Amino acid sequence: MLTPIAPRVAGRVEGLLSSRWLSPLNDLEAIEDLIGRFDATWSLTRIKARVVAAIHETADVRTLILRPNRLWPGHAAGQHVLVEAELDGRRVRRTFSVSSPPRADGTLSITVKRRPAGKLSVWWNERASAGDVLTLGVPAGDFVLPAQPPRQIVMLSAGSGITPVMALLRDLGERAPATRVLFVHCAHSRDDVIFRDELEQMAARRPRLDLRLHLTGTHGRLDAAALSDLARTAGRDLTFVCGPAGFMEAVRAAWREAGNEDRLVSERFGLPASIAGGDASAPQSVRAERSGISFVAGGGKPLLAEAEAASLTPAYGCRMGICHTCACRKASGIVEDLRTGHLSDEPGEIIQLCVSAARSPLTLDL
Amino acid sequence: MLNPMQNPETSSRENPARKFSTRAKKKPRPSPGKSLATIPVQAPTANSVSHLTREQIDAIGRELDALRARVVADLGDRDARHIRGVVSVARSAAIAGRTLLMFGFTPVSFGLGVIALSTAKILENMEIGHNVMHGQYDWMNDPTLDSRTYEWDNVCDASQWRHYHNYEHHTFTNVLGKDRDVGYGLIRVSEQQYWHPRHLFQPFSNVLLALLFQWGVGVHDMDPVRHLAGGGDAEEFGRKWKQFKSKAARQLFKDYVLFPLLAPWNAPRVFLGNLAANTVRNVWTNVVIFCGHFPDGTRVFTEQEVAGETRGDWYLRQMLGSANIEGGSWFHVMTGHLSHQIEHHLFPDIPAHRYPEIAVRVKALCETYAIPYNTGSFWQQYGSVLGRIVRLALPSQEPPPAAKMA
Repeated sequence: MLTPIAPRVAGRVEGLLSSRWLSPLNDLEAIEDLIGRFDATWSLTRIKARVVAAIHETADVRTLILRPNRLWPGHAAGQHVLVEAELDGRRVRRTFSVSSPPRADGTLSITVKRRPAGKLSVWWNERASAGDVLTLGVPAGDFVLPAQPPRQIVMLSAGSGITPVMALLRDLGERAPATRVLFVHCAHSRDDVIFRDELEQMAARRPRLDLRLHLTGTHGRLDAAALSDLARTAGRDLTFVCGPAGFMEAVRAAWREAGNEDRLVSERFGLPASIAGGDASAPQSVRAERSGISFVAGGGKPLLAEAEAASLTPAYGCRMGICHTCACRKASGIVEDLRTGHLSDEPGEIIQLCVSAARSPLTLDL
Repeated sequence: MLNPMQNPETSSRENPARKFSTRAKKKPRPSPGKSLATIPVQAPTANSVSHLTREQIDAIGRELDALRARVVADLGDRDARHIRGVVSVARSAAIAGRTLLMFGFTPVSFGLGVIALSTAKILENMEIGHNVMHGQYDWMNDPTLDSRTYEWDNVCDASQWRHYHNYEHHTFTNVLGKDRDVGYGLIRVSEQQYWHPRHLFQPFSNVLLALLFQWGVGVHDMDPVRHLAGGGDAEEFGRKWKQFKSKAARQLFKDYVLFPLLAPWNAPRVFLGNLAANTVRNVWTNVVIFCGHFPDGTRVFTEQEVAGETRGDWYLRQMLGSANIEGGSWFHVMTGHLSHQIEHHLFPDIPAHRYPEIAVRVKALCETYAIPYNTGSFWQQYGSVLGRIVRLALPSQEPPPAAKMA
């Protein structure tokens, strides 16, 4: 498993102390464990953040305000970050957009919509409370404003895709109030509009913000004609778009048609892979990351046999789920344990190839 | 369908030699059986479960699968707290032990230091290392408890351990000629192993093995006996020898150079204390492990017997070939829960502190089906092991029929 490490500090500390001959004096994990006992956010190498407040945005969306430790390198509005929490003994990771611009007090906000199948998002919405500590990765992503914000900007979002856009909007309000913004946001109903109160206040306060809420529950989704109109309105203006895959595709098509696809900046949300794990007999494509080989796995056969059929040579032993010789990290996708029917759907889980079958397209560390 | 001995779909059936190898490309190993004088003969009648019908054996397999699934579904915070708690105790004991040895001056602090450091090493090797490397905590996604990368505090290279212990021993448990843990190639622990004059010395070689146990464990995967006899894959031996040397050098450096040098005024004391702690750990692990498969009543199996095994058969073999030791909860932790060897062999990748509660169900199952469940106090079990080692130093009075024919 990757561990989010602040590279600058990690390089210094680990370079100094990493010799195996100094073990156990340089057991970084033991030192981290000790430091963490004084304060759970203290760490030499990891960005830890404490939840300082929680805000219910809508019935199924919640913002947590986090105060990271000093290893947090700061982020640009619009970037995303890997979040790791330990839930019932299991470390679970997801990438979320930061919904706040950089703040002087060092806090950041992350806003997450509850998805019934997502362990972390359910915890985020139902159980997280002030004082909980999370581990963060280094912020990343190109969904950011140019250093010199342009005079006119268009922003389009749908559903929870509003979160990085909101960071941009808040940032613009502070840094470049002169920029003219057209912001079109789609949501099912008024009650589903995340940040609605703040948006309406902003619109009232900022004459250069043209806020248009499109409620799909009453008016249906934005159709091709409406998007073409928008694309014409936007013209060559820089356009930020974030939302579900279908929405992004439709926007991209409209902008392409208008000849302005190069002006689109988009943020793709990792959507949860198909929910229940597909049909057991359906063949799935598997990508072996390290060897660069892709193959098709039949749904009923163990991945070990399928990988071997594709001329890969994973280590193995008992071929019956006992010895863990074939244990392999699954980067993404869903597999079923053929012994128990248990589905592994979290990215980064370790699976036993000899008793696991593909239930969705997979990426394996092979 | 997941049994390597009967699954026609696995490539191990297409090429049986591949079963012995963790990498498909390696050359096949010749059977180690002959060089170890453990040519199997027919099964004894004691402890037989011949009264069970095929349907009953299948039902046992299903019940144990269901038991496993119930525990796996329940894994969570409790298990994470347990293993992290043990890690904390082991670390604290190591710090306390080394501090006492380095900064103390009296024999009392020496004794306490050795006790603390031995405890740390025993916990780290058994309840943490052995169990983590079985993959018992892989579900936590915690890189410090990852079976694939964990390295433990003794001279055995962890990757070699994972091969011969997790794969060979746990898959082919007590199968003569396949499970090299049966007597470790040194000690005759079953009437069904051929007697050799060197077995006359085994009451002494057993003590020696116990005192130096980590070294036995360290070289076990290389199979030096077979290598010296000219058998095996020289290239593979060379690779493993290199790994072993590098691991052993680091371990020796740590306990006998680095820590003594950190307290130069007390260097001999630290050196001796570390030697004592390693020895205590060696003897304890050896004793516990010998109680797992060698007390009277545990069975060995022939390759013919296990051919075509179903999952139910495999579970049965694990139960008949293993023995438990009774004791309190701290005793179980200090054995890495190998005192629940039966449950460990049924479910090697379930967090070990669950074995006591699983044992209740396994015992009930054994009663229902009249399957022997071998358990006893520590002295009962180890006494029986020692008795066997002494008794089997001499040739068996009634050699097994096949031996007569040979």
